[in-house]
Amino acid sequence: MNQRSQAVRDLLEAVRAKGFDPGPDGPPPDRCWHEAQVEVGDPAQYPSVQESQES
Amino acid sequence: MQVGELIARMEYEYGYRFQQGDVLLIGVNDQGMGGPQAVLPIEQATVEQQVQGIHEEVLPMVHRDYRNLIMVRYEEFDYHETNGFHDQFTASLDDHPGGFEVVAQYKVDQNRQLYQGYMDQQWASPGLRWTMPGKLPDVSAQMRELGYKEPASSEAEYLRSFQPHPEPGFQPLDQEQEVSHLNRLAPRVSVEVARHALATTASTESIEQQAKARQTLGHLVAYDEDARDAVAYDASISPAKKDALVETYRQAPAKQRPALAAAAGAAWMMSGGGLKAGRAIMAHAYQSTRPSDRALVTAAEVATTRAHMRPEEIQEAFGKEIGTDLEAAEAAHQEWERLYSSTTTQTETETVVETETVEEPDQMQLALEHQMNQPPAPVASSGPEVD
Repeated sequence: MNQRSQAVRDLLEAVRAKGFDPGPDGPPPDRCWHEAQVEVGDPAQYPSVQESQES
Repeated sequence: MQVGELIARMEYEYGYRFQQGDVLLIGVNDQGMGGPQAVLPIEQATVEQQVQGIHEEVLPMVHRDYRNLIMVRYEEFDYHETNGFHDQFTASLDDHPGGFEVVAQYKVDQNRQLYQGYMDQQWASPGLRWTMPGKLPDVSAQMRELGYKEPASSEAEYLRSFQPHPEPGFQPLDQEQEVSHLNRLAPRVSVEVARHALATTASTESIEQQAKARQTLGHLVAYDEDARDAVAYDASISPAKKDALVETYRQAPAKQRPALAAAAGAAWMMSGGGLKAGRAIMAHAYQSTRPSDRALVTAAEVATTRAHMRPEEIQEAFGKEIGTDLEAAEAAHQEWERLYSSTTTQTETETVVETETVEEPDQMQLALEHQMNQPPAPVASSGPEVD
């Protein structure tokens, strides 16, 4: 029985197309370092930062 | 915008106040725009481990568009500091193929005084120096106006807001007839009923209708994998639906929690939400006895953190087959009315009248999407992450 839905298979295919092996299902192994909290900001909200760097 | 304001706004982006020991990295590009950011609490790891962590997890994401980094350290000001983290991190960038560079660095002490660093070559011991401090700007009024909540006092408090509520906010559907009917729906209709339930949860102000919608959503997400995937996709492109799905997972009875956590966690990751909050939700999905729930969150996490795909790329790949079937959507709408007509309030009656003329915005949007013969266009995942 296939344990992955069509949408999940589509996503994993895109991951492989990026040249990455998704590996087995499950949470990633614990890391020894305290992990980062990464977010993607909205550039439109942050205009003209560079100008003020020079001030 | 002053850099101090940009720095102050980051706590609102993240949802919590940064602590002494945190390091904030902000990507900026040639136009000086603020881009991907990362916060690294450094107290629990060595400098070497932190630098390694940045290279493995942070830089691949920053690399998308931004190669210049602003580094902000939250720590007590010390003129005689050794700059161990700064020196090791900037040295490690020399060998990185991405060509990253720390273009500016700042410090914020516990009194929220802001210092700017600069390289001084004039003195006998050239090196990093710091300007006289200025107060970190208060941006609370403007951020409230933009729709952001006041940051939690700590990261731990913030992450608690992604844990299940102590008591369920709704119970599983207990009417055998209703459950049996939902389970016998044609697959395409079942999917659309689930999507309708999510949309209702996100939009209605009727407590009674919201409870019914959550019950239906919980049942179908736990029963039907395609319904789960469809609501995860819808939530990934709509902040309001994402918030509604996360809240439904938090309110869910224990039996439905893992499936709803899978949908909510995947949606959170696919929308470009913060990694730690996403993992707080997904931890409950990894406990699911249904293998496909674990597969869903694994795929969402791998695509984000390992393959470093943009939210839009993930949404497009995941939603490839999740289009909108107009006939099924119409049938789902009729099912919804049939199932829940007894809970219809006066406000809902007005809505029903509107939908009979197919003038409801959702229906118009569905018709347009159907006409274009493609899945709904992804909505930018930016904006306030406030849950």
